[in-house]
Amino acid sequence: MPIEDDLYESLRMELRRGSLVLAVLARLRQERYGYTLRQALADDGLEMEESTLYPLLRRLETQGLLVSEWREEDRRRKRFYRLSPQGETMLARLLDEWRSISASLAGIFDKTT
Amino acid sequence: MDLVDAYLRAIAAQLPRTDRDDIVAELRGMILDRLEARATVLGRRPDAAEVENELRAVGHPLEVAARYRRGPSQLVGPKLFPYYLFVVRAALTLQLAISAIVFVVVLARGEGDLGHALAAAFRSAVDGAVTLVGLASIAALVIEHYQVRLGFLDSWRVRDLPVLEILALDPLPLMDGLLRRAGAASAAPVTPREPWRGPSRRRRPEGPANPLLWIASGAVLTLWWVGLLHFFAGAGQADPETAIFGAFARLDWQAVKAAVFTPVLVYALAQVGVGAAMLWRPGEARTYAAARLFVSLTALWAIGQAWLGSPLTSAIAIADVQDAWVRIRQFWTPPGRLIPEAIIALSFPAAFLGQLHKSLWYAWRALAAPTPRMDATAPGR
Repeated sequence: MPIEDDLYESLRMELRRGSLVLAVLARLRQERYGYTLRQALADDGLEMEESTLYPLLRRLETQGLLVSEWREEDRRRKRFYRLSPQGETMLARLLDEWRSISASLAGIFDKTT
Repeated sequence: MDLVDAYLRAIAAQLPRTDRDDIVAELRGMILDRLEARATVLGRRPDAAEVENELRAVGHPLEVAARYRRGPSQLVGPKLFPYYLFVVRAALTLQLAISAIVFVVVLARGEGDLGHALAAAFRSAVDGAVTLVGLASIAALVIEHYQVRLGFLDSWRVRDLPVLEILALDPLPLMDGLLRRAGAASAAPVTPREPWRGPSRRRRPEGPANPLLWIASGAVLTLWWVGLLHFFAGAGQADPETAIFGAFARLDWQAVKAAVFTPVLVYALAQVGVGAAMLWRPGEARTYAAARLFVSLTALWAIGQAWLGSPLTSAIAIADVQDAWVRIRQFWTPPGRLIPEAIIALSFPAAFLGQLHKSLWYAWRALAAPTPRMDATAPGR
């Protein structure tokens, strides 16, 4: 069923897209650089392409939700990201929304199953 | 590292200068991390092919760089796309209709055989389609890039929506709509006459699609007039754009065009100006009326110039009342075919009077618009 598989993949990606931002913000409560952040997300079951993650980090920083700093580690300069105070507030609001959506969906599923 | 450097240089070339070094440094760190992880798995340094595989996994340089772009990442965004698609579909359908006319005209004039007529129609269709789609795409790109807010898209009214049915040019819903309108008109109660409110009582609301129609029609006319758009391209030695006028083909049409070139160009650009005015100040009755007044005055200028001050003048001049009567009789009793001279000779005074009427109407509206609405009574275009 290649067409069904393609459709599933497309819908799955759409479903994940918004939640990845939430996961990145939550994971950056602890300072990390891109590579270790990607590994941490993969360990959580959220694989993310570098070509998606790195531009996303820059965008979130431009929006004031992250702060970054270049530092040397293991004889190489790396850019470390962490959540800004504005990012903390935004994450809290987004988590509330996430829980609300989750509760609504749970209610719908309970009624339909 | 040559491969990595070449890859990063290809990305850097696509990036804005202000952020280039910073982004490339971060990407370099990410790639080196990947290669180190790969070396740990292999137990040795990856060879050139393996490095290249890792770079391919990161993504094509154009794709990677595009993700760092600021501003829109698409030519036509999802919000604008339905409007873009609608305009392109309507324009292409009209272009096909024009090409069909080209086909019939070329055949009817005996300019060539069937293959020649088909080739002329096909070339006209392709030229027109490419130009129209290109213009629509450029307009969409400008709207997306500069984030132009099209206010009329948020302030549409249900009573303006029939224009969407008409421009969709789908015959069945169109016929259905016309029948519904005819039914509604015949079933409508007779209403008392309204008090006099100006030179015309006909209501013709200016719908939300109208600014785009004004701009599109003005742009197409301008491009055709200055020779950048061809509807009758490749149709033989005689110029079919003049051939449709029958006996008038013997006139020096280049001289006629030269005589009216400036007024027609100003008229076409004024149409674009009306659309722009409607976008700029939607709902502003006086701005709209002033813009329409300008269009009507330019039309008067163009018609007057062609009628009274061009090589056409001698061909269509009506000497006296008797001559006028002859032409009217020619018009109503064609001996097997319509007489182009009669049609054109009568069209000029009629069009001139029509534009004069519009000019007076819009002058009155511009000076004494009683309500700040664009949709009040108005004579047609």
